[in-house]
Amino acid sequence: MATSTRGYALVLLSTLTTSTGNALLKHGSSSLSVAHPLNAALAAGIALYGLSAVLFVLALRHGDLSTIYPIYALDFIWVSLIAMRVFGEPMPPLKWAGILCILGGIAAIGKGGSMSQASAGIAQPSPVEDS
Amino acid sequence: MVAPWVLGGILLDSLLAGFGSLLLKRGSSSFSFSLRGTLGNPRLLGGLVAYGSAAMIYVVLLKFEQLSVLYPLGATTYIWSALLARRYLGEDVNTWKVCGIMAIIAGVALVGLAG
Repeated sequence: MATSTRGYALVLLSTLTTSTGNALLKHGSSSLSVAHPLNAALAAGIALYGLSAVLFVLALRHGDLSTIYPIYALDFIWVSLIAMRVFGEPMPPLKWAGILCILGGIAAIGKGGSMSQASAGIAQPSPVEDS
Repeated sequence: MVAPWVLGGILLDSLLAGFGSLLLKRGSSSFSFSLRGTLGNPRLLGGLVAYGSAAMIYVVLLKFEQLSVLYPLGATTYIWSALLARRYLGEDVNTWKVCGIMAIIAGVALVGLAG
């Protein structure tokens, strides 16, 4: 099985959804108390987490696990950027280096994914079918 | 130094998450937008349970070890899921993918070290 553009788009959307959910959970956690165990931000954050899981499963349907799964590491990048821009958390050079490393890795995965697409059906063992 | 049981725990935990991703992939082909569709899809359900359990175990392990140590070790999930994808799904895990996974793990380690 090859990874389609739809697969790439869905996993990208899934990481954007989960990192936005993450930011809302972080925002909602500041006003969390025993008397108010749930607020709008927390509820929205949890809902976005659920939506992200659905998008991820749909992405897996349109692509290889060994391509889609590592691309999910984009989440690390969005969370770091949100932490810096929205919450004003420090962004040391080491973290930027890590983000560049992750980006490079994702680019390589994309390249590898497009290559397995090209060779699909030639010498690949057939994927296990669902019974 | 990481306590041996924490090291073993986080590696097993990553493996569990790797199996979770395999089950989600196997269940994704018959995914449907309904509670009945989800409950009647044992692979999808198994994947969700494996993922959820792995996340809870991770939080427990965080009580005993720093995030900068657990972060990169947890990222070994990328290795497990690729190995499982090759073994059980017959996917092509080529040099580009192997290099990509290594770079991602190194990147996650740097992000973890930076705090």
